[in-house]
Amino acid sequence: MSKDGDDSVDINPKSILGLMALGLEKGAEVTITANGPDAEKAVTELAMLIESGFGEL
Amino acid sequence: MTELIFQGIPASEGIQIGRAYHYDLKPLESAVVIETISEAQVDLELERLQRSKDSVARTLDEISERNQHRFEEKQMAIIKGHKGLLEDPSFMGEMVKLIPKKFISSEKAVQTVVEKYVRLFQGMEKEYLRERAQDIQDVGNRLLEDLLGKVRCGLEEIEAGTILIAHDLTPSDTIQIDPDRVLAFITKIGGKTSHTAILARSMGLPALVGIGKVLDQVCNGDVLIVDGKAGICIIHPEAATITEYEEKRRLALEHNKQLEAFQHVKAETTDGVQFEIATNIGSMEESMASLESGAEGVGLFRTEFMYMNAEQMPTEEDQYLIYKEIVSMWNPNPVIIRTLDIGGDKELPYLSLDKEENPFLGYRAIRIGLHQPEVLFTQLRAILRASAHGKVKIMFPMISSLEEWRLAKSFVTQTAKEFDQQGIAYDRSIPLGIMAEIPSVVQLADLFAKEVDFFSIGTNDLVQYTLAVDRMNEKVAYLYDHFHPAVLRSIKTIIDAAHRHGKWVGMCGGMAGDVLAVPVLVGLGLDEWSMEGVAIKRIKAGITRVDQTRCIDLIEQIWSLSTTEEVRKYLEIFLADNKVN
Repeated sequence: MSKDGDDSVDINPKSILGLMALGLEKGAEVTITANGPDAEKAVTELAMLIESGFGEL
Repeated sequence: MTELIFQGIPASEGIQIGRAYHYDLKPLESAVVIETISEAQVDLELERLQRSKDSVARTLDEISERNQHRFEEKQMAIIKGHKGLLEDPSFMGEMVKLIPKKFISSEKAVQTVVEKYVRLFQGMEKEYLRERAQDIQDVGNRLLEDLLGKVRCGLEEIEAGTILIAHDLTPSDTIQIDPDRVLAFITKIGGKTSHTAILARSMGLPALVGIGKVLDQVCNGDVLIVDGKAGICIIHPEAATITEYEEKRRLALEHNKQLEAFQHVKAETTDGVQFEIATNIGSMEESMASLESGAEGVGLFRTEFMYMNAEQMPTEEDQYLIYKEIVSMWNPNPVIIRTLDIGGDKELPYLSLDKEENPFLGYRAIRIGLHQPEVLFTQLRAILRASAHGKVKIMFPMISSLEEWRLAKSFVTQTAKEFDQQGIAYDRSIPLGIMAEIPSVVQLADLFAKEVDFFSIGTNDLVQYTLAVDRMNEKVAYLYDHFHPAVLRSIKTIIDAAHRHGKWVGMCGGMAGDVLAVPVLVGLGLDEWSMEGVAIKRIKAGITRVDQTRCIDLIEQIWSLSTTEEVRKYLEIFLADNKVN
């Protein structure tokens, strides 16, 4: 996963450290990439999680 | 090793001889011995890393267990965060991947990953995230130290007889210091009235601040002498020097013992004029500790430390319970509660204040209370409720105009009105006063004196604002002096104006606890003196040895002196003549 407009940092979204390292401010856009058999499902679910505000909005 | 003497800013008196310990978290750049490994060693390295990870996790558990009784939620959360980092796939996970990929040692892998994230976080805009770099470095250091077989000390696990050296200590660091094990401390930055220095004095620990980078050459375990009064630190002292300072220390302790006889006497001059001696407190612990200090009340209760130690804004009930207990324990003696004085060098994590170019001239103290009325109202409700349990006075900090004072006062009036309607008990004659610490208040002292019930002179800020000297900046610290003739004239202006209107004046800044200021303040007729508990016996001893009529004559002479140095010299001679030490 990386921040749009800045692909220098590419992180594993399972990692809190990684998520913090992206330095995302409110409203920032990200790109999620995945591969493997569950890739599509993983991307969809993660995108939904982000859009739901991680259950905090 | 040759003996070297360094001059810092004296922040808290006392002499100590002990062993140096650097508290700062520094990258262990020179630590890595072996960087590359052969393919055959990969499994071994992975195993070493895993072992160190387990060992660090255990250490963290031990720290939280051992300190359970003293750690608060915030400190526990830090340890928990460090453990979380150990389990984070981006942290340990990347190290585990690097070892077989690049054929590097565990140490090199730890260093590479830590450096990467530290650099990333240090470059972040949000301060909260920037500060996480320190946590990453901290956990990285623990791993490296374990891999290298080094033993580490944290602030909470320091050996007895330590002299702590740090770049700076935040007030919350200082609170964690165990005075049974730390003898003294030295910081590279900071000034005499930084809050670290104030806390050192209230803990009775000798301290030097603003010494600069010179101590980087001192190694952990080196013998150091700290003389907090002279503001010097001696590294690699020779045997003769150690003997000399042991003797000095003995004499200082003896002198201190003699002064103890004055702890509980009345502060009365030889010609029978009495002064009220009070103490400054910042917490329940300090309040209890100073009950027996000989103070006749609390001249300044700094409520901000209560806010700084909380995870979120303390509720009215939280505050009420603390105020009530403190007010009751001092009853019938008065407690002056200062409303929240945050900003400047004191921050609150949950009240997000923007970084400012000039925080001491910015959004701080009463300015915050008046712009975020819910904060001030909550506090005033808690204070008024506590006023039913003893003698409370309210003081507003950082007042610069009559408008601010009147607005702040109207908050109290409004709260009182609500209490009347709701039938809540409070002291209807609760005195309201202001800190006199901004030059505009000095200029308008006669107008303020008509409206306020009292003034309390906050010399620390009054000096800073009158002389345009940032009290946190060690480079201009030499300009910071409460004996500057302009400061003395300001104090006279306030006291005279107040007395003309039948009001009393207190002083709660560092000057009230400076024995050299005794003849000046006696001569000017300062009504109430509030200081740290440790200064009380000395100031009382000073007051009992002078004669007010002579002090008034002395003051007349002082107005003709034009420099700080002349004033100091003059006072030193006067005190020596009066056998005050």
